[in-house]
Amino acid sequence: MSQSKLALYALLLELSALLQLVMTHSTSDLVFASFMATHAIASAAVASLALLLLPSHLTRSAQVDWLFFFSMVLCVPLLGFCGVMIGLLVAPLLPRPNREAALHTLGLPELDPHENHDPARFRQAGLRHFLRNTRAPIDLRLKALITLQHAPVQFASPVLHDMLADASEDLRLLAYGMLESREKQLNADIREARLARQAAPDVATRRAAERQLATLYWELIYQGLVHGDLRRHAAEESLRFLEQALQDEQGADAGPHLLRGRLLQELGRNEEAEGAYRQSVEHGLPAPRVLPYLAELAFARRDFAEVMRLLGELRAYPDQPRLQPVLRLWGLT
Amino acid sequence: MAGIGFELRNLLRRDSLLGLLQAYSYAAIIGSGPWVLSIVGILFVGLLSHAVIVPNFLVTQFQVSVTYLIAGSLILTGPLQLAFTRFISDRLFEKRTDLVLSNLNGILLFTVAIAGALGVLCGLTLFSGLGVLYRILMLGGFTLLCCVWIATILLSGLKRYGAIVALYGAGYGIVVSAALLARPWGLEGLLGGFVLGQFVLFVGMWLLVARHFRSPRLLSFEFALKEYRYPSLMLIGLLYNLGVWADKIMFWLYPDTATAVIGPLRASVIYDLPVFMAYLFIIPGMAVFLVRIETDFVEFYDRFYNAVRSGGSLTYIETMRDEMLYAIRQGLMEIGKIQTLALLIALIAGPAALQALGISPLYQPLFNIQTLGASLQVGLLALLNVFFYLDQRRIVLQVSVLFALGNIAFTALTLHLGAAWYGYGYCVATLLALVVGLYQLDRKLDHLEYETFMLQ
Amino acid sequence: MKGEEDFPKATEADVALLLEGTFPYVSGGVSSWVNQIIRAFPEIRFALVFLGSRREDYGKPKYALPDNVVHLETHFLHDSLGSRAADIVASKGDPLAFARVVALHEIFHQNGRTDLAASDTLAAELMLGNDVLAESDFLHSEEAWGFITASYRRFCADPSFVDYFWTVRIMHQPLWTLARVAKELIPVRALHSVSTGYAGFLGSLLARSRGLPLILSEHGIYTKERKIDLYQSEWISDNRNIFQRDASELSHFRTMWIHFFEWLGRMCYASADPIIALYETNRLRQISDGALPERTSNIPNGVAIARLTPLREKRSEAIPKVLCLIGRVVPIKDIKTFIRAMRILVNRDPEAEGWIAGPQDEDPDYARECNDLVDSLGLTDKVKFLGFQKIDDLMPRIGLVVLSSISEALPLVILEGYAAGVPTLATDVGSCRQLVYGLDAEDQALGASGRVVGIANPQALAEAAIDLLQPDNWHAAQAAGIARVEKYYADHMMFDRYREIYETALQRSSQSATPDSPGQPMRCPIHGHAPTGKGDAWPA
Repeated sequence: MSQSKLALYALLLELSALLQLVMTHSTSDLVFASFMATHAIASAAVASLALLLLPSHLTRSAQVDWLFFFSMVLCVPLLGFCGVMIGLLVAPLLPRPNREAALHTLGLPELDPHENHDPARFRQAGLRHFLRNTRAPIDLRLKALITLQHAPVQFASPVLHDMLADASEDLRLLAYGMLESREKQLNADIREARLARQAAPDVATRRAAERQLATLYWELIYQGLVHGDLRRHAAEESLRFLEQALQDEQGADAGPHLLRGRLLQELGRNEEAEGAYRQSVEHGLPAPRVLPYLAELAFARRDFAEVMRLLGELRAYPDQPRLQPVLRLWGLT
Repeated sequence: MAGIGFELRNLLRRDSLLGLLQAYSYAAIIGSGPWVLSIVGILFVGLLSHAVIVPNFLVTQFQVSVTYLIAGSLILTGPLQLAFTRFISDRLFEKRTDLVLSNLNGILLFTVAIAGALGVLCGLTLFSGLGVLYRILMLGGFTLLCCVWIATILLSGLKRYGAIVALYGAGYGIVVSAALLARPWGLEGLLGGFVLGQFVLFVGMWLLVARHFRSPRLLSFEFALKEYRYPSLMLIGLLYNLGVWADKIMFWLYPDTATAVIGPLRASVIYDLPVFMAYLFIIPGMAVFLVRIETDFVEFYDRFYNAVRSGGSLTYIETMRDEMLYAIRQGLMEIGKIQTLALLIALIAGPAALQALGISPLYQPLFNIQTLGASLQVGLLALLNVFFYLDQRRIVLQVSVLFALGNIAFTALTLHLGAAWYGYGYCVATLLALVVGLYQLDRKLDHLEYETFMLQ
Repeated sequence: MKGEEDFPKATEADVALLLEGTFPYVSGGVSSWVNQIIRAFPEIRFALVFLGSRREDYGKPKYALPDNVVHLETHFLHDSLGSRAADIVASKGDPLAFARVVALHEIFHQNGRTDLAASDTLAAELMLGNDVLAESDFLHSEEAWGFITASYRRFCADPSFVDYFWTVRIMHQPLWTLARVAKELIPVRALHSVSTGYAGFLGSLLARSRGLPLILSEHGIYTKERKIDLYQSEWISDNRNIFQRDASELSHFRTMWIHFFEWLGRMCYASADPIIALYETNRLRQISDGALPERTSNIPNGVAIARLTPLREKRSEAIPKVLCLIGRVVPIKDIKTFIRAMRILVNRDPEAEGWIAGPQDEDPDYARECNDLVDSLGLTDKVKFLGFQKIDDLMPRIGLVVLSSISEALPLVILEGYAAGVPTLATDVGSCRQLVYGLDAEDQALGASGRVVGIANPQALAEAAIDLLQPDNWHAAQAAGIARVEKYYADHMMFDRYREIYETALQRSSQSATPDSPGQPMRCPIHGHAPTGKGDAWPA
């Protein structure tokens, strides 16, 4: 309190001195020196005041900060004081600039003239058979295996698993490397989702993480990366997270229910699976998406009449080419 | 068995390997542009006040005082300007935006302390016997100008050209209008208006920085750390500003060409007015330079270094190099064209303009040669800017030394040769620096990829 | 660097051991083997040359140095990438040297094996001969730039020039470091490298420049192990876009690295005699990689049986249901498959436990992934990471030695397990099949001393473990293991073979040297002239 009062007095003193200077047009060095001296004292008081106004978290060394204010006020008489006050009082009130727009305009990609020099590309039909042919040159089989990098995962994984037992070490190791990197990626995602779930600040975020975890564990199964007991373990984990995610969700979309059905079926809990499939249809999933699974469940129950009926319904949707052979087998085309 | 091979992954991080090429660079030299605005503002105040303020020499005293303030503050802050922009660009490239404001404050403390000490010292010695209020205003003006240059260079490094021009417009608007209002108080009134305008300009720029960058601390001094110091840039800043002012200072000091105006301050009546008028004619060149270099050239520059950094093919890199070269040639050529046009206008309209302003036609030849020199200086600015982009500090230093020493030597020669030669010194020095710079640029761009890759 | 001034230094030694990324800084099978060999020959004075990548990648030495190590020097090949700023000077470069560089690479690109000897000579000449290619020229000269850009345009299928450029630099620059090491090494009488790669290349340079015999003992096949790294690495970028990419090509940079390591291997095979493998498959691989068949032979690893026998007495009556993987936690050991197998095993037998005994500091990322996998499989109290453990403490407490590696040579831990009375469960890699089921008919008659399953197959691994832990099966396997290790893999057999090899080499060396200055070559082996000026004098 007293400090600010002191500063006010100092300022008034200085103002009157300045006014006097304007009036008198003094040219005396003594007057200049004495003005600078009183001004320095006033500046010191003002700097102390400014230091009080400065939010404490901005201060690292009070002496240096004081020196900053003091020199500003001292070297620019009167205006320096105004400047320091503006800096302290106005700057924090300034509106923050709008963040840069999230969307950026990108130019058209340019054609890079750097060409592939080797026109001899791998062309081989029947990749799977070719890979199994142990008499084919190793180099060609290696190339064939590398091509699988660009194949859909659920197709590539069984082939890669087969190759793990190949006689050629190079092929084994490459297949291992390819499988491993896919699994590594999924496991890294799972780790991240687990951490996100632990750190979730509210229920909604937590549920989102659980849903993601369920999907990721299912992905391990779908991509054919887990087998036997581990496949079962993945299915259990996926189901566990999915049910947590669903427990307090009202009017969820159909996706999770379909996934739940598939997981229950995977775990052999067929009756519950059927319920889940029906729920997914209730939530708006088109019927043909679940009909094949329902038919599978009916088949497992040896209820062939029901299989026929369900597949018969599928006939109404001819845009499912992959199911056509099944329909043909059952004499439905 | 753990061979070495598997460790290689740690090495193939491109960023650390190629080092930090500056994505940002310095529109730093452009920072010298604003002083042209300052000169124009002061000329304008002078012209408006000529008829009103009596006696007339008070206006001259005002103009000379401000000119000295500008020259002195530019030379004093010269060593800091470039090095500090470089420091800020590099930190922004590292996304350390938290360092901007606190380091600006830090360097301001440093600047104000030195400028203030120097100001008080001069006030007690050189300016002894002059009005106390005049001395106080000179002290405040000098300190503020130093801060203004630092803030200007920072904002131009951040490419906030629009804001710079707007703030300078506002600042000098206040200078002019405050000067007009304060005319009754004579020299102190005009000077007070000037100081107030500078104050508004500086506070505006500081608030702009404070608005965009927050720092966790009021002050920090990372810019002074040894690894962030750029001695070559400091030297360049000093030499370049010295080079720009050398001929003027020499004309002020030379007894035959100058007279004392106020206290220790001398002015050259025959030299100063044509020189500062000539600067009016480089504005079109500056505009072209900004547009050409800062858009075309920078676009290909960015693509070149992006391709280098993020895996473009060699052919693409070379194409971008060629485009860059083409943009530089185009830019310089256009500056040349527009300045030729400006020069022609100066030649044709010069006599009429001088007459209208009541200036003796004897100034005409000097005005012509000064306009040529100033035009060449625009080219030199553009060239130095390109070198800064390419981080060729060694070449810039070389050219700056040439420019500063050339200006001193040739100006001394013309002073010796007599009035007919006045102005040629500055002109020849600029031309020499420009030619050497162009030659170096050609050589540099030929080897650009080689140097980018192999000399690291 | 701290502690390095305490290394023993000598002015000369008998055998220089060239060690890349192993003893004494890295623990593991090869390092134990090196330790074994040094201690087995106290009468030989060894000089150790350790080559590493960067200083910061290694901690303190993991082994105490035996007394007969009279000299140890360490070199870190990737510490000095690039130059100090002060040394960067633009230069034209020596056109003659670069003409040789062009010729050398032409030979590589011809792909035939006709001129390989010429290429080796050319390379040695460039590194250590009279017309050396200076390192600064490689790094900074215009000639080098011309060669690199021309090669890029001609061969590089990947568009990224910056990656190409740095791949070339990182690949080649260590060769100059090695040339310096070769010049400055103290006089020795014979060279012994335990791998090809950079150490093998150093051996080759030394053998050529000083006319010394070079012994090569390869445990894993270096080139193959580098390929495994490269197959698995995500760090090698592929910048080809959809139009440039050929689906059947790996990243061009992987191919460059593979070719480079193959060439290093060939350089070493060309200079080394004898070339020793641990078992037949590896010997055949060496031959197919360029080793002359008549120089190759097999010497299997051996263990100190007498020291390990007492451990059998310490075992409890019951078979501990503890599966122990002894090895560094690194990708090549495929620890993850072991962890997954533990999940299956614990499902079937909740008492089972899995231990992982080995340092985790070599590949911290991989170690973390393994720990995560343990968590995500809910095995936190069933799978334990023990860190480095003493064999003597560990063996009596475990039921099975498990190796789930995707690549192995002839693992010492299997032999140690046998000697201590612990059967093995291993993947079908390296010589594991031979170690478990026997090599020839006589060996096979001893019975199976464990089980072998395919790689990356947790299900099979777990099922084999259940089978092997049946008391009858286990005791049969234990007996077979003890019999097998005592008959074929005792360390004195290995030492006898190496004694012979060292004696031959040292003898050869003293024959080729003048009697009064042992260890110094008479003539430059490349030019056939005696050293003349100070510049090309071999260090005395």
